[in-house]
Amino acid sequence: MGCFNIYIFNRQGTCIYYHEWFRPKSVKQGAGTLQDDQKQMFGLFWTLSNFCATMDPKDQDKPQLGTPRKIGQGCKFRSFTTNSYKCNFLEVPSGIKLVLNTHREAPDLTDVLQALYDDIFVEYVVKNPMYVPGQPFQSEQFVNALNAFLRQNGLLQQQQIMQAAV
Amino acid sequence: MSVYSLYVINKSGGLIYNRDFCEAARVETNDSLRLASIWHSLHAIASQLSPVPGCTGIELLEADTFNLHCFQTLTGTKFLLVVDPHASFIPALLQRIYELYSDYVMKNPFYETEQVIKCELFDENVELLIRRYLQQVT
Repeated sequence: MGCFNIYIFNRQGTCIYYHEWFRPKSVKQGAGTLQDDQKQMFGLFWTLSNFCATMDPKDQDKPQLGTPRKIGQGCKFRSFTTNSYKCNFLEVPSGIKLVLNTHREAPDLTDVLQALYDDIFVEYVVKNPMYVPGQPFQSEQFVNALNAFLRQNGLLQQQQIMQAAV
Repeated sequence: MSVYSLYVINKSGGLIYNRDFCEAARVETNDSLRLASIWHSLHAIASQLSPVPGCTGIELLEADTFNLHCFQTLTGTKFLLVVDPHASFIPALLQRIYELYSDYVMKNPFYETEQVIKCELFDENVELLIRRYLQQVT
């Protein structure tokens, strides 16, 4: 129960932050290396966002598949659920993408991800004067605030807090 | 309309059946073929990226204006149903569609497996099932 891992990507597709709490199936069994895993995750979301924009049944002039899509244009993809996990996604207007893998019974986490961005990422990362926007970062304050926030929302159990694996 | 469209994908990722129940949901033929193949690959990548072992692929995709339910059979055939976010009992509906598929498509002696579905009885019965479902929920 709870969260498995979190990825934060910048506009260009580089993973600027990765943290895992509980990952029984190691990266080696999945994509191979952590870098490949992050690249595949980004590709998955990029394609799913385009897929949703084209499939949208309520949009009168939806984009054709393959046309470049601007950030925030078209129907936004929120999450997908598989039989073992649920993947929650949020893309903010600046292009930063947050991906949170949780157990499959989790409710709609769009507000949680938005609050995570507003209260934690912006406060501890963007407002940090030493931080170069779009670059990978490591911040102990960010990790502590993240863990506290997720525990508050009931997404993290005490025994799941592990060492950051960046 | 609660139910927007139905797609059936064979085990190699090719689109073998596409039915829109609503005018707004219409996607161009070429795009629908590409969407089906894309879905097939994404389904596989999602299980590879799973942090937990034993993942069999995407079952539900949630977006702002629609939900997409996917039912995968033991043979690898996938049934996708694009519905309204507030629609209920969709897994049962997908199970019924699978039963209609096994009755009117698989038992049709002229149907070749993995080919495009052109069975009138299947079309009629799917239409009837969806209409009955919509009547029950409204």
